[in-house]
Amino acid sequence: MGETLLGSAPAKQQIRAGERKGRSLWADGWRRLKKNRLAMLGLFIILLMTVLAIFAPLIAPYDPIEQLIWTEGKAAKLAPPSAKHWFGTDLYGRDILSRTIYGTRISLTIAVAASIVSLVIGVTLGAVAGYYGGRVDDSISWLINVIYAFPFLLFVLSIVAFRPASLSLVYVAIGFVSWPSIARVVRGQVLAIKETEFVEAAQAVGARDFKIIFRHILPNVIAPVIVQITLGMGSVIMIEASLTFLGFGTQPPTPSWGYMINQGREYLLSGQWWWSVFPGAAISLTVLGFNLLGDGLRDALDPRLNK
Amino acid sequence: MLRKHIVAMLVVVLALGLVGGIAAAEQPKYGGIWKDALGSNPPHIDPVFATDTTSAEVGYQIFETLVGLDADGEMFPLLAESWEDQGGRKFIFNLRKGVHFHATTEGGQPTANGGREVTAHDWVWTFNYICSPETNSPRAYFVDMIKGYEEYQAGKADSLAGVKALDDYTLEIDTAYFFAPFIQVLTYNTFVVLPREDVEKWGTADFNFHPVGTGPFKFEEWLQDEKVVLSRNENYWMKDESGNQLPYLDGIEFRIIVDYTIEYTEYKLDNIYQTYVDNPYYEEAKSGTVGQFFERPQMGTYYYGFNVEKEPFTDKRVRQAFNYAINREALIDLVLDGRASSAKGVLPPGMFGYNDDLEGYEYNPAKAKALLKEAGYGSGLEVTLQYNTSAGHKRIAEALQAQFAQIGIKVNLHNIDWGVHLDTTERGEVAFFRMGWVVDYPDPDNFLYVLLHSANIGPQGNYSRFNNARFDALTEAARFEGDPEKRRNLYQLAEKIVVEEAPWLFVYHYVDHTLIKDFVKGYELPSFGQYTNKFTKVWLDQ
Repeated sequence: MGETLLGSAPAKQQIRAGERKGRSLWADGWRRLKKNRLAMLGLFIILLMTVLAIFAPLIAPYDPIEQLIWTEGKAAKLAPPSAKHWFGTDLYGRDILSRTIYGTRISLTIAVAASIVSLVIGVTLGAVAGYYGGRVDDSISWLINVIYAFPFLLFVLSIVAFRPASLSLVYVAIGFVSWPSIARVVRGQVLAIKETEFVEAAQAVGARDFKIIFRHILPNVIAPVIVQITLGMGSVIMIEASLTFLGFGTQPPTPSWGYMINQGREYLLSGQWWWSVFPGAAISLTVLGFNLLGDGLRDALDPRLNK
Repeated sequence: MLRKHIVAMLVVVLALGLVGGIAAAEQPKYGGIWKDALGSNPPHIDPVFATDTTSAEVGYQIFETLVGLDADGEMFPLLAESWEDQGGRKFIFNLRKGVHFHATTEGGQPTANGGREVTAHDWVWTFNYICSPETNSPRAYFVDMIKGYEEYQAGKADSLAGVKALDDYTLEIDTAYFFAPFIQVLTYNTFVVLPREDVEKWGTADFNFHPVGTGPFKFEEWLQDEKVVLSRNENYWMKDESGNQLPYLDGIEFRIIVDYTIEYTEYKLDNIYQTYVDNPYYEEAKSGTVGQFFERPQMGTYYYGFNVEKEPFTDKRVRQAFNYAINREALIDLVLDGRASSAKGVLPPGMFGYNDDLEGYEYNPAKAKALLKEAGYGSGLEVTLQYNTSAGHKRIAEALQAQFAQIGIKVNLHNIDWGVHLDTTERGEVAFFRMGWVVDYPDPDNFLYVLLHSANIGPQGNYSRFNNARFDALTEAARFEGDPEKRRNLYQLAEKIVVEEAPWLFVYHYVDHTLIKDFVKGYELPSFGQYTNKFTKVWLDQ
């Protein structure tokens, strides 16, 4: 994981040193990131997917839920990739390219929304645990361990099973199980930072805990959290696809990669590979993008690796 | 001359060899386990409570009825060697001698009955048990024409007056009125003979998990959601034409495989010998290169039920609008690969009383929209369709979802396990649900009375909770009617009411099929459906 438990003190020095030269950690990080070709590839993939998601209605050649078989008959059913339908069509004559493009919306929305949920819970609980220590820390760490120990998918499934499947429930469910990794990073950072002089100074002038945590400590934790979030997005996308594959999550006819793979899988053995292979490739590509960028960010933002 | 002799001799030798060869090939082989798949965990193996095809598929191997149905749907003597119809209201059954309950079960443990012979008294006890108000069998009412049924159910009599043992091997059943398909009803999988000792040993609730019967196979093991295992009943009464002991198989293993793709893959890997053929594999299965493919129309109807007690389906116009909204022919042709026939009403083709001239609902989205507007849903409507998890049901649901969307109906799809689906639907908790019905006994009574008469609201079969006095009167009158022409007329009038009132979205009539391995012999696809197959005479040429 991207925990830089010991990296906090040098980080602070780095910031100060950087300020003197007029260069922040961020500018420094970006400089390093730019040199990392794989990370830039990851960034490019993510930007591409984001553009596809935002401009899907302009880019997609067809309406993703329009079933062409009712108007065009058998010719539109399970048509292999062609000039008309680059990725072919599914059983109902829906254009798979358009569905794959629209699918980026679901995946990225889930990735962002679930990350926000886990960010809010993870940062808050992690900071509280790290700063106060003692019983508070024990109980939050216990909670983190419980959620870690629990089978991930099963846990999400049991949350989702309580209520009829809906997108917002999926955001919350995924966010709810993915916050511990963030909380752990934050807690570790806070533990180290709260012992530093500037925190002691803030305490000495009588600043309230809330202010100390948010003004003085958390800004120093942002970098590892960003790394953690970026790396986590890939797995969030995978979870959404798995959930939808299992029939929870996104409901038809909304185009979602997981659902397309599930339906297409039925036709995979009989030779109609395009229904599931294209959305499958889209998932792989997106997850790869997030992982490459996450790795790159970790290297770029971890000053210990500074050369 | 000599050459001629030699030729003649050669011909004779060859012919003999050929005949011998055929005879050898046709000589059934003993042994082997029949490996099969069930599409879901069976809700009830106990036939007294089984109301669905998956349960029946298992039950048919363990239990037996008085009268059986062969592959063509013709009745044949099973545990009754013969029967006499004495005036349509009195039936004398001459029971087969030498029929024994299973002596052992579940890994060779002795059963409570000890493998004793079945007598007429067992039938009397079983009929009383099935029809008892305490047992509360959802299928008891299939025989509610038996004399004394009402009194017994109401607790006014302590036994069923119409079922008597004249001696150990003679059973008399009297009905309160003439009911044309009475003998057919007795072929239904609930009306089997049960060993009293074992039912009492386990109790009504647990007998389901320790079933004991007289059938060709004995119960061994049921791992929930995993498999059901049966073993050969070595004391089975039936012999084949050459006097060999049946069944040929050593046992049956039903694996519970919910997913068609996995089922088909398992079949191709030789892990199961029979498979459902989902649409993607239809062409391959039909080609004959992967096994023996059977296909035939099955008397049954696939429908979406509206719970007429729940909004928005309390309004007839809404129900009709749904019916006008879908293009059945296109659905069957494009999504189902032509493996069904379009449904205008309730009764399937081939059924007595089937009405060729019935005016069903054509595809008319404009009319559907107008009806919705009239009903006050001009701006649209949102409902949830509940269906049991299956790729096939989902495929149809998603196609119809798009058609409903065209007239402004947003249909959310909600899939759920078969057992839960059946339960919640029976309790009337679901407003809009997928359902299907395949024939139990070949008479319109089994569709119209069972599925739509107000007396059968709930688990008995009327899941739509349809309640129409005129329809009730017509289907009741048809039960008492002796004249086939008049009965037909009554049923056709009743069906017209159903079509007009539209408690269902009529979708299609089934075409059944199965694919089995080439080494499977003695197999026939029954006209009542693959699930009614008995593996008594099936053998494996391996």
